[in-house]
Amino acid sequence: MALHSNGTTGTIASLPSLPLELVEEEILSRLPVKKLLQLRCICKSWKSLISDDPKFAKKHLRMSNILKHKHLIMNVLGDRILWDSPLSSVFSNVSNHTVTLTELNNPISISRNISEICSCDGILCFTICEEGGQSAVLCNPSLRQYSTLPPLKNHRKREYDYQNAVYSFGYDHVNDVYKVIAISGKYTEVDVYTLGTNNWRSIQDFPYCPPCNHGVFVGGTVTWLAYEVSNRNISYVIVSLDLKTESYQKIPQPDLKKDHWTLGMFRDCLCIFASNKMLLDVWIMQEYGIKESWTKLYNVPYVGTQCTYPRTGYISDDDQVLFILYDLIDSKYKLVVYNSKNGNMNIPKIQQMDGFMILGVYVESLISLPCSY
Amino acid sequence: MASSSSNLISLKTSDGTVFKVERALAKTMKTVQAIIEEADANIYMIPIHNVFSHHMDMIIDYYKLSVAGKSKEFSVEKLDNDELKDFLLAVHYLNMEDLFEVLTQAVADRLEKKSVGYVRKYFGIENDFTPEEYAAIRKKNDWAFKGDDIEPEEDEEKQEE
Repeated sequence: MALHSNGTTGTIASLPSLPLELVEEEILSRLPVKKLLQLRCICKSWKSLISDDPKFAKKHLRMSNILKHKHLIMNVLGDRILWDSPLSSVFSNVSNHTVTLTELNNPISISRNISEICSCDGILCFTICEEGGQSAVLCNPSLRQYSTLPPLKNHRKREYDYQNAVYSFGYDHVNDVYKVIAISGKYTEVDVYTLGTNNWRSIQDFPYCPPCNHGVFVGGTVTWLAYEVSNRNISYVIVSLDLKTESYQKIPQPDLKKDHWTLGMFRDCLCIFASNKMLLDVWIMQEYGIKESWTKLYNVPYVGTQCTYPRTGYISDDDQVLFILYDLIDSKYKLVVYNSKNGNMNIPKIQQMDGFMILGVYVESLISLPCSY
Repeated sequence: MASSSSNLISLKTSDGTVFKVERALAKTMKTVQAIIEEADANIYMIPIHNVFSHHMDMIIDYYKLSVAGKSKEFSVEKLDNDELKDFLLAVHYLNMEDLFEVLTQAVADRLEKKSVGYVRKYFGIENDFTPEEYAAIRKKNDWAFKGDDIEPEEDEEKQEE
């Protein structure tokens, strides 16, 4: 690669300094993925850096997180369209701002009902519902890559068990691999698919009643909200799977008496969105596994007769809480942004969102999916 | 080990100007710091190649702002793209971490809005693809070129032979 630096007269110093290529890498790692994909055609070494360099992809991912190149992805249940918006647009405080939505083209395999979206390092794991049951599809929306997983039913011979498998997704940083975890809806059988391999592996059974929703990737684990039965009472139990050791742990809960819980993640800590018809409290576990470290982060009050389904909550770095609210007055689902610093509730103007919404948040990333199309 | 009782270090830029700077500022320049540490006797004056007096002026501005906790107020808006690149290379030569990050971000922000052709000229990079390879790569990520407000007259595709 020929490289000239214009405008500097005088000799290059004899002292060691960074090679000029690193200057380019520093600049490139700060660019959004869309721009980098354009710059693939600059020269062979740039193409190689952008598309085939896992070290650069990791550096870019770090910068993407720091620079907050994040997006919201939305789907209305039953609709075949995936909508994408920069997160900054959703949290914008500018008055009369309308959130810009881009349609994400998706191949046939996602043109069915999406019931869950998991996210890790810019890769999304969709749970798709179809007549035969649920399956999972992986996607890097920044690169527009999709990848289907080998069918779970081929791994376990009992086809009917996997109709309602719950899929979750995370990163094993010790082995540097991404894993999909499938928990059978009916039984407690658990299987793991490691990206880049061809098959599922069975691991220890899930130690409690299977969860209804996907787990959250936090602190090197996938953590679920599941149920345990004791003395004829069903109660919540928080269970984690360490992605490296593939072993389970029961996580202590805060002493809360709220009706409905959902798990979330904020600043790499586990959170609980606990709601009843009048209030939403957000709790955070500052130190993973330590009961005493559960702290109330925010309290989100409601207005009037609205009640909420905080099925997906997201907290921005500047302490704004995003969740879905069902407005009983207009019978509509709405996306709401609560600014915990000034107590404002804002409903961003978003067109085309009419119905039960499923959300995911992803960070722009160059992490490529093996066997993608 | 150079031991100067003065708290000022003299730096001589490529265009012959001598700047007397605080030792603390010289410390942020790893290249200069290495020279000081390697010197056997007192260093009287350190020449800094590739750095001009207008660069030093901006470096001193940045230093004053960061000492006052106002580094966010530092702006390179008045520099055009080539001047900015020049400044970045000078700071890169001096190996100044914080300012280097600020400038690489400034360059990235500007290049985001530019066409492929502009970026190529900016870094002086030769296109080493065959026309067929180039066309195939463009086609593969065609969607990435849509929906951007790239300045059209600089898009090299229209000028390809």
